[in-house]
Amino acid sequence: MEGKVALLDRIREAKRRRLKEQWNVFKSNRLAYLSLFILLFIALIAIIGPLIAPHDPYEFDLSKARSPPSLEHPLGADELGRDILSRILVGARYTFGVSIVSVMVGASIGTLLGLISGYKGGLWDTVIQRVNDVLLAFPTILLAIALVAFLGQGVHSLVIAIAVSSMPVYVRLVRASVLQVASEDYVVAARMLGLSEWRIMMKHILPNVIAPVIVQLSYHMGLAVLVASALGFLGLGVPPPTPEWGAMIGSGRIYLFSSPHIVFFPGLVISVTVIAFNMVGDGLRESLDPRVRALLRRW
Amino acid sequence: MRHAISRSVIVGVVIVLVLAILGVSLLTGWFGRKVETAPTTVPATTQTPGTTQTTVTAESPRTPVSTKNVLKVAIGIDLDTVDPHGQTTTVVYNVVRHIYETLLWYDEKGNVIPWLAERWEVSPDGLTYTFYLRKGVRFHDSSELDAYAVKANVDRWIDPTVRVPARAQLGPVKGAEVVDKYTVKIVLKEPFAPFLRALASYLLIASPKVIEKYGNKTITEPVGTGPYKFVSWEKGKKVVLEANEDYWGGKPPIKRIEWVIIPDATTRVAALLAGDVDFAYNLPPTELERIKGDARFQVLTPVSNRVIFIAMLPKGPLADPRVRQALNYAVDKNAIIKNILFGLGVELKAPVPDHFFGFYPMKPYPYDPDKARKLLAEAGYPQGFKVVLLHPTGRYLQDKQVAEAVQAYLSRIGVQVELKTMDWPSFVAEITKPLDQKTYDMVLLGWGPAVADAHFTLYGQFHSGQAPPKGLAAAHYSNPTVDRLLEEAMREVNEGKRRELYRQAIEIIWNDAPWIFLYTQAWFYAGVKNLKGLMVYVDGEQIFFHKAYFG
Repeated sequence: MEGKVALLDRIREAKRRRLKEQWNVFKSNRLAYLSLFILLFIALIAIIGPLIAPHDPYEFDLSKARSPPSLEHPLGADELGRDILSRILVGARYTFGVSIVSVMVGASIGTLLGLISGYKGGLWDTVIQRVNDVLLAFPTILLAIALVAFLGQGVHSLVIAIAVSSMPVYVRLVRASVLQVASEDYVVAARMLGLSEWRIMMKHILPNVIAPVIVQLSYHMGLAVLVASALGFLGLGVPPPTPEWGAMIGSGRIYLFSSPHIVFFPGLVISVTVIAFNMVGDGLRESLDPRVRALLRRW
Repeated sequence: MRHAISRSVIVGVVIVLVLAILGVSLLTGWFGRKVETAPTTVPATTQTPGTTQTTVTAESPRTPVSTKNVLKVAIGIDLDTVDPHGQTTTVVYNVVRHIYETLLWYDEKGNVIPWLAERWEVSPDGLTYTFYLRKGVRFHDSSELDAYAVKANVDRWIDPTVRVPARAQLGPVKGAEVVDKYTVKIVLKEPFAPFLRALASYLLIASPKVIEKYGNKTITEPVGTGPYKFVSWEKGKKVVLEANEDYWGGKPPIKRIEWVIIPDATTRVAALLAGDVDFAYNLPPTELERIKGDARFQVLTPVSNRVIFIAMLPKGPLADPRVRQALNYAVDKNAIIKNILFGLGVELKAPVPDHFFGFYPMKPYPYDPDKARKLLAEAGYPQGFKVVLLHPTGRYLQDKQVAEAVQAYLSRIGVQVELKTMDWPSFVAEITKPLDQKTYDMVLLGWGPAVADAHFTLYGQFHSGQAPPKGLAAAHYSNPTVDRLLEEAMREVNEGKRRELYRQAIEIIWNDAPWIFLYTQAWFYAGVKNLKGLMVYVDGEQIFFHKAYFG
């Protein structure tokens, strides 16, 4: 009895140590560490944006159209004389929020399908993989455009479009890992113990295939910000006058030479967000890879 | 080691960002130039665009000598055909009209003047027009312009086996009769008051030899009487014309015109700035300030025949004229013209442009959101309502931007606008559906007839018989009095009486407000400064170079 408690404690302790080690590895990548804070900051803005925006993002004044940055409008005014800073702050929830939610949805469904496909095999595998092949054959942005055209404009269809177009990668990724893990002794043991398939997939396989998914997730969110912005730029995103970052660039692009600030600032926040996601992805890859950790431990 | 790398990368990124922000701030004048920034927000087009129209036609009395022999002109679209009777597109008309001419033409004020015909007579019943032709005019193939040549052109125009897209626009022509060698009669089936203007706009006269050779097949060999002769046409690249030394109106100063086809408007600006072309058509308004500020160039902003408006369908809240008036009060047209069109427009004072025959000025609906709210409350919509506004993107100057501004203005009086856009073919399919199948409430549209006569705008847009799917009357407007006035005006030969009929129709339409009356669109053309003697055609869209020269 006592032995079992001690064992559980030791396992818990080991888990905590591993987590701490991973965190330390992640922290040692300063760029990733900084990027994490940038993302947290943007996430905060996505939540409280409307509260801190200095102006109403929809209030327009044509006499101030395209006016350059000033004290009243720190980032200038856009083509209808709306405050760009306020629009960026409020727009965070559309561009950033939509990207995160849709990639999470896409990754969850993709992971589940990958698990089923890899573990169950047979007909399940064939059907899921062939459908997945079809989806993979389309470039992400093209698939997203087709879906938005089919579903109509709006936040919901934007989420669905990005989710569906980001899903296939996870199906592939998870299936490959599952094929490896499924033949491990502990999975065989679990099966011998008569655990249900669902429990084996969720408790014994998923935790061991999740690391690459998390890394992919971070890269993918950066990509999703770009896809959401690109759709907005093409006029297929959230309909106007919603201050979505990509749409802001799209409607400001004809003034690129005469009033570059209309395009520059939304472009800057998109770039920073995408770079930050990629950096965090790099950091996660290093810290979640046992080989990197082992290498670092030796030093 | 890797920490050092990360740190230098961070420092690098920070420096790049700071530099980028600095760069933009300097470009847009963030630092230290507060006073000077004001003009960038206010386009310097204080003069109304129309004023250039009269000044550019000033000609020097003697035939000037050009210091340069080749004129290169950038246009946005390729020619579809050089057939004189197969024309559809204004820019193409403009090019081939240097080769072909018409019996009548316009002066700079838009009055009909003699051209290939020296004078004309109209029979009292308005059915027979007699034209006395100018003598000694020869086509480029040296055949003579006579009554037979004109008859051959009229016959081809009304021949149903020939493709003539503008056939109906010329009016109900029955046929032509040769009276003597230099006198020809054109007979109509029923009176058609705008006939002389339509004739001046549409019926290009080609050489009878060419007409005989091609018959009802598309003419690919343009031979006319005009100041320039056709040399070559490289599809998608350029059209070359050379001066007609024997032109009856005097030999043109510039020996050769090359029309270069550059579809992208920004590329046309670049070509002009680089000196690759001497003149460029149809430039983007966002470039207006930059080119105006450049001493090397002259800018033309002639007002076009095209009115831009938002047609409101008579359904839901918009069926109430008070609501439609409210929407007119809610939109500040002058702010839109100044800040979104960069001044390239003139506020509508009637449903037709100011320079049209039949124009009668009404008092524009001023920007008055309070009055708009009051009218909405009277009509029973104090909280406003929701509407769908369909608009094209990239068809008219700044169309999407104007739609967004209207959306913003209407939100101030509680009217929530959902914007909807489509590619042009789907857009046209949508607006030509019958009223009960339409999926929108309002549509942003332009309407620009080639002939500057109120008939073409009012009849086409407000006669109940022209409502889709039969015609293109976007607002599905229906008013028996207006129908009657427009029909009478179409047949009335007396100009004074015609004007009076149009005045009455315009008053009714203006107060009924089936449109949000926006503006007449102006064009933006630019050329090198020493290019003189340009003639801007009455439609504000075509430029003629037969008297042009490099000073």
